[in-house]
Amino acid sequence: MKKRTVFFIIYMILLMLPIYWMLNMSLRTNADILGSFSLYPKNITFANYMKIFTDSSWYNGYINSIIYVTLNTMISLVAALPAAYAFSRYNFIGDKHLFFWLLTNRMAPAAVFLLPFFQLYSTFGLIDTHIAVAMAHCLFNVPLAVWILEGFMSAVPREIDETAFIDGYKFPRFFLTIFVPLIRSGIGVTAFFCFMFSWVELLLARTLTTTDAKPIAATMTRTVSATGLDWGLLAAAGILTIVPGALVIWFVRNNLAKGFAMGRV
Amino acid sequence: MAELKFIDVVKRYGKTQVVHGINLDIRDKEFLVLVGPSGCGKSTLLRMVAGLEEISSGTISINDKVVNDIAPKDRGLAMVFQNYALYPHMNVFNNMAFGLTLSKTPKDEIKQRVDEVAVILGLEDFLYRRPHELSGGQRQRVAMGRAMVRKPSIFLFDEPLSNLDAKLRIQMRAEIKMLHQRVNSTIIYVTHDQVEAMTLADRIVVLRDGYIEQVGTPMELFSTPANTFVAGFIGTPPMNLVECRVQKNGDAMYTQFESGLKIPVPDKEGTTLENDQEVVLGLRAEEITPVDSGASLPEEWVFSGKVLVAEPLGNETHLHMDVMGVNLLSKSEEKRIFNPNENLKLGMNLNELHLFDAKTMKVVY
Repeated sequence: MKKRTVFFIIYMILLMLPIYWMLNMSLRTNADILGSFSLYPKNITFANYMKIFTDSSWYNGYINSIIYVTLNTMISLVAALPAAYAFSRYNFIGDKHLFFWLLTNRMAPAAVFLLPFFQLYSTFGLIDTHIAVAMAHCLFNVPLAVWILEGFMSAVPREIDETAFIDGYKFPRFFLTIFVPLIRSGIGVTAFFCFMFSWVELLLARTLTTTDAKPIAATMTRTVSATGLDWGLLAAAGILTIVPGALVIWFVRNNLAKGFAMGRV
Repeated sequence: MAELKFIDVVKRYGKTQVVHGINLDIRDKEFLVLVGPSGCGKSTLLRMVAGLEEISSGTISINDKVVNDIAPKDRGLAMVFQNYALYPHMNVFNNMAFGLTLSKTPKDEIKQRVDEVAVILGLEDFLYRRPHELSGGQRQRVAMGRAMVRKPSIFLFDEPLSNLDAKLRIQMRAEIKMLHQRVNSTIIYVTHDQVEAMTLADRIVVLRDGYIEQVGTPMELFSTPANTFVAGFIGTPPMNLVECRVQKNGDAMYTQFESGLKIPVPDKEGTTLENDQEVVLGLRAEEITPVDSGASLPEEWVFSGKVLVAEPLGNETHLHMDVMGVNLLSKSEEKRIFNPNENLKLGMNLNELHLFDAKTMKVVY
């Protein structure tokens, strides 16, 4: 066997092991998990999954997360598309500094913004709404989206724009019918990154919500109680949080590869 | 029907001025080529005509109408770019038809026009392919077709052949010339390749550093260059340009080189050369040819020289010659092998001699 294949197999094992172990735990009862060591579930039970799918406080966590994540991805893209176009096509005073400043937002830890956000959203009565979380995540996702999209847009030759203007396109029509399709893969990649960040972010999502918009990550912390940790349930919830991300990756996998090839990701 | 007029056209980027007051008239149906080395402002000039660059000062008019503030689409022109700028997500048909759908041309007319152009350009079999499935030459044809279906009164070409390989370039060059004969539009064509300029143009504008060096037909530029730049730029191989001094000896006039070589200057009316004036002598390689002893040229026009390097091209041979200490390029159409260090007799056709002032570089003879 070639060296490369060996390394690849070792890498895949290390990568998949925790996920397999979570799957393993999610199919067992707590007593079984704590009682014996087993490489595979001997008495398979779906009780943990049934609880999540039947208890509204559990499945609402997923619904809430999906709602604000989708909202956030859409807002980020709508805001970042024109911004990235401006950065890639026009020179204006301080454009490079502005571009870098946007990125520094992405570098700041979320905790820094926690208190101001909480106060701000309380004042506007937005606490415990999906839009509050979606907008808070924009602080991180819009700069990221601008950064990625700018790279894709700069790869489109300027002459495309110029030909279109000589042909008589109005800007909005050009942008939607010619330009956006050209950077399709870029938009796919951007959406993926926005989705992933927003999906796994816990701190802001948890602070800005109480019940109505509570995300799944916050719900999962409920498994810790005075009687100990509900291992099986936590593992089942964990497996289910992987599913949406895996689905998104499946849909954008070709674009993602193209995006990585083009750099900037 | 389109005539263009440039009056004192200036382009500045911030404080740097790149085009300095261009004045130029372009006639209806003319094939005008803007040629010059990179950075000479030729593309900028073209983009100002298209409306893609603002005109800093001066005016450009199309048919006596100043177009400075008119949107690109209302100027009645079409542009072909070096990198084709095809829409990669649309097939050839849609690429060509898209400009027309905007002007709300009826569907069957669009189809008819696209088919017509596709036949002219030999693209009938490729109409439903995507640009990435085409070769470079085919893509360039699609780009031209996209311009043609709009039936513009002015075509603008921005180095359209630079991305093609040499063989294809020659073929496309002929096609562009045929296109001009067929469409009867005014064409402004930008290139840095003087061969393209010579073969295509009705008139050539030679630009350098944002100034016009000379305007004229290809033959005018070739036989009467206005300065050393045009002399060296137009024609392959480039004209021999050597510094020397004018010497007058009674009625006879000749140029004296530092190495001692003297080349006679035939009498010509209206020349005002001074004794000891520093000049640059210009003589094309084809006017310097190896001759047999019984040549038809006057005896003082024949010099002896030594071959330094011979470059056979098949139909002709370029000879780098040492003529009494002066390096000159000569051309022979004799089909034989020339050896280095071979001594030859060179006949110079001094009726085609050019002299340029050494300071102003402008033609003085």
